[in-house]
This record gives sequence, structure tokens and C-alpha cells, in this order.
Amino acid sequence: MVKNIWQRVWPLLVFVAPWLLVGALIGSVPGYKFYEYVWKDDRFCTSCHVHDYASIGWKDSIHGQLTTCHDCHHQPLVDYARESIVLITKQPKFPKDLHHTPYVPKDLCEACHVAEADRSTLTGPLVDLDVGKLPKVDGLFLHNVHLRKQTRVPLPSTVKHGEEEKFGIFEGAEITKLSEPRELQCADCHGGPANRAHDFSVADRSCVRCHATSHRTKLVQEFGCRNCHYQDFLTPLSELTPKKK
Amino acid sequence: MSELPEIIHNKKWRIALRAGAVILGIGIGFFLVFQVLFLYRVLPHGGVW
Repeated sequence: MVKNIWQRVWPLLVFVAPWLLVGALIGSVPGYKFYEYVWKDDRFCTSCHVHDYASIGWKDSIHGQLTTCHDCHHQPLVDYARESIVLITKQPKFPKDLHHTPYVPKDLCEACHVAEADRSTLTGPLVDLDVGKLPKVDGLFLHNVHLRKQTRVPLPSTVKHGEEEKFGIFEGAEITKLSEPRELQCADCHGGPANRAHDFSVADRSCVRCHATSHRTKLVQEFGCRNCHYQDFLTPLSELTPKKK
Repeated sequence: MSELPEIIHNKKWRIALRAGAVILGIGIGFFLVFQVLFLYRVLPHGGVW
């Protein structure tokens, strides 16, 4: 019986196969265009993920000129389904559902910004060639120093927002030091409350979390930290004077 | 080679079959290209479905 059915269907398949192929070739073009839109165009994400300062922060930052959402927002396939369900069933409301500053794992930054890093999770849209051109912070003096340091100050994202902070006031959070020192993360300086979402430029308030007692004079209050120390964060190790080395 | 089915001898059915095959092909082509490229990008991000 199966053979009988197959004998009837086979010529039909041979008849439609070329047309199926023509259709597949035509369909591959919008398929590729849709992939490009989903993967490379931030409008795909921002049409649902409505931010206020997060979108502005990203667009105005150096990341906004080079990257788009998927370059940094890596998530397993199952999370795409989970997000869709959450969007329908329990849509978070901003800012009351923002319980802490975003946690950006160190390896995410390192993949682009450290010379010998694991780049296996980097799948674009930023191309490998451009990743190679990005500044590698482990080769810069004060970045290198900080990457090898430990701290007992808790990571900004582990400090829960109070009721006021949920509505955008981040000042004066009480910090309890950790009992054990931990490795310094990129987010310690580039991801504190002072930075807000997607704006990773360092503010002096990030420095004083650890260096509050470094200068006891009014020097810091008058000039800030970066006025003197900024250039050393960008000085290549190879350009250091023998004394600094 | 077996005999061609009766349906192929009918001109209207032939056109309908071709049109159906093209439409189905567009769907398959769209889905395959999108899915393959998307999975190629997302799977290295970890996690198992």
C-alpha cells in the first residue's frame, strides 16, 4: 500500500520540485532581510523595549556609534521565548520594577576590550575585524592596574535599590563592605549608579567608592579625580617610564 | 517511471500546483534562511533549548 501511494506521489513531487525551489529562492531574500532586521537593527528591539535614558545613553555613547543591541545582550535561545511570555503575562513597569543597576559580567566587556580574551560568544553584528581594532584595556596602564586588583566594596549591581532609588535617586546608598575581597569588575567603575544604563563613561563617584580617602585635601573636590588620572588610564604599558613600570 | 497522475494532465490543476509550490517554497526559503542565520548567531550565546 505504501509503495502504491509512493508511486502516485513521486511524479507529483518531481513535478512541483522546480517550482518549490524557485519559491525557496524567492523566499530566501525576505528571509535574509528579516534576519538583518532582527539581528542588526536596533529598531527591532526598541519597538517593544521602551527605555527612556537607556536608549538615549546608548545612542549618545561610543557603543551607540559602533554596536547594536545583540553585540552585548547575549542570551540563550530559550530566553527569547521567555521574554515573549513575560511581555504578555507580567510586563515590568519602569522604574518601579528596576531593583538594581544592571549586572554586566566582566567577560562580556573583556571579549572586545581585552587582548587575549574568549571571543567565542561574540557573534556580531559587529564584525571580527572591527573587534580587533577596539582598544584593549589590559594594555593600558591604570586599566591594567585595576584589572589585577581586588576590593571589598560590593559590586554596584548587588546593592538593591531603595524605594526612592527606584524612582531615579541613587544618592547616599549605604554600603556594607564584603567580608572577603573579590576581583574588580569592569562594572565597578563603568557601571555604577552614576553611569545609569548604557552610559559606561566613568564618573568621579565611581572612583570614590574605593578611593574615598586617597586625597585628604580639597584637591579632589576642586578638580575631580580624572583631571589628573584620566590620561594614565589610556597610557599604553609600552609607553610607561621605567619608574612607573 | 510510473504514469503521471491524472491531476497533472489537467491544465488548471497544473497551474494551481505550480502556484502552490512556489508559495510553499517562499515560506520554506524565508523560514530556513532566517532560522539558520539566527541560530548560527544565537547558539554560541550559551544555554540549551
